[in-house]
Amino acid sequence: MASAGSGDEKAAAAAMITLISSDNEKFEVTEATATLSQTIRHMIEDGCTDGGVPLPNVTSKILARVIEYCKKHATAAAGEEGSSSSFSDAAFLEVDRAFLEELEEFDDAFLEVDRATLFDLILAANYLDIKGLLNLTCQKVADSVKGKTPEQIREMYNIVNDLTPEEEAEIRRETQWAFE
Amino acid sequence: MMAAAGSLSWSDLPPELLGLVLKCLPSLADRVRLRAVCHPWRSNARLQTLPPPLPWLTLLDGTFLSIPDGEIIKLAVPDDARCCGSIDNWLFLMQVHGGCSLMNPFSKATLDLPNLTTFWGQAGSMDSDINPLFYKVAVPSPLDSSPESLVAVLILDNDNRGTVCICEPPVATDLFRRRGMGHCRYLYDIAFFNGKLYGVPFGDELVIFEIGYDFASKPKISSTECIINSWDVLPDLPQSLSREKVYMLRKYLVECCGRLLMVGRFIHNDGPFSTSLSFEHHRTVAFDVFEADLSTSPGQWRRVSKLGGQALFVGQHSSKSFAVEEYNGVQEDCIYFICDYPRQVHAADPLRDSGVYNLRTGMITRLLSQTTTLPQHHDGQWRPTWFFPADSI
Repeated sequence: MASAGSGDEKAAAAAMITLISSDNEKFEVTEATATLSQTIRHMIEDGCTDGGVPLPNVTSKILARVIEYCKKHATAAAGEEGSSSSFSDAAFLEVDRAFLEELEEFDDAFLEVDRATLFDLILAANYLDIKGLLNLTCQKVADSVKGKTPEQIREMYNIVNDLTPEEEAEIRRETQWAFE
Repeated sequence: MMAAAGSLSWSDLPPELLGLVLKCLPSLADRVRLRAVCHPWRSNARLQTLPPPLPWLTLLDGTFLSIPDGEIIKLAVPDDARCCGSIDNWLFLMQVHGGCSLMNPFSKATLDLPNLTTFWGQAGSMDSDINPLFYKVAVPSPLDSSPESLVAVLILDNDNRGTVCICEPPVATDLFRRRGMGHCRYLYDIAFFNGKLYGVPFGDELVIFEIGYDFASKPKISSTECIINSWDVLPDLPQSLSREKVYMLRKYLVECCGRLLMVGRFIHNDGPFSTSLSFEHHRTVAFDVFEADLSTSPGQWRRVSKLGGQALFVGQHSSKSFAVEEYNGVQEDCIYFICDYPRQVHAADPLRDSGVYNLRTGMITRLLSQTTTLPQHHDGQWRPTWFFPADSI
């Protein structure tokens, strides 16, 4: 495990972890960034991260995006912790609000991806157990289908309508009101 | 497996992840449409347990308004029936000729009630120009699970008299009117709490209606008792209100997580005095919530400033507490309200004085989300009431 960082950073935050994507690319990240993933956190706790953490379910393209998310949110979390001791309540709230706004902007920009990437991000967030990212991506899907018809949703997500005529009839019979 | 993600389609979204997406959809219509996209989504969605969807509001023209997205929904109800109230996901319907029933518009299950107007008129001498204006229906336990339930109905007339009718569907078994003159005979609201029927008359009283069974095993109101009588300890006005102004007061009784709450609503006429009778310019300015503490005798009202993870949806035809969930967008410690006054034959636009009152901050925000425009032109014969559709997939 790589060690050391700048003087005032906690040792744990500065410890480096190597993540290895399915296509064998290596990513060096701080432990603070990596442990946003509960899956990786457990591996670190179990001491099985020497030589890198293989993530056979995540491509380098997606892993890079996930790390981008984790870096930002790990920094935000650290910033909040630091600020609570050194600011008055009012100043703390101000900083808190600024952080949240910045994070929200980051998240919005982060979600500007095509549907295929969004799908892979959801699966990766689930596999790596990153609750914030999972909620964020699922919320994005939910927001995109609000007020849409099944046909519009199929088009948006490139889904083939494989419902049988019987199922279609059943849906119409039971929930016609939702399609008018 | 993820490595093959490129070959996976959105229809392969694992069930638990589809569940997460569904949880982020508080509107039942959105959930229903998502489930109708493809076969895997339809069958996988059945595996998920979801929090109850957000309520709808009945509009005067017989449509439903989904909160907070503002979608207009049309449900089939019998042509000659109009909605005059609701209990959870059941509508209280009155037909042109006075026939009354409770109906679940999804399952079409129906519980016939007696002709309440006729029954109301049979008991006691009433002038011919006095008529029932308004009905509030209450049951001791959810109708979906106890279809044999007895039903209590509060009937208010244009003489400001409150009558409580007890029904063992399809027949009425008892009728009760408070004696006395003037305000004493008024009843703001009734509600069942722990199987017992309570009412709030004018003032700060809480009355319990004991329901017993007569020799023919018919439910009757055997006695009434005032169990909180706090004329002498009138609670102060909420802090934000001025003692110099005049407020119209409405009260609701709501069961909320094992507590019986009395919700006071303060409404102020913002317009010139001459408009006070049209109620056009009346706006809600504050709420006050009290819990009935029945551990002492007599009991007492205790002011409540938090709702413990619940929000309240209040209206004169139905009020209900609703659990705040991470994803449903319902705000904690808030009271969702609609324009449910004045009590006239034809109800006012329910959105005219509607909003979400935050009990902690005293702020009022919009009932519908910021981007939603309010529906226009929905005059009709229906009464505005909350309707809580059940997600029964």
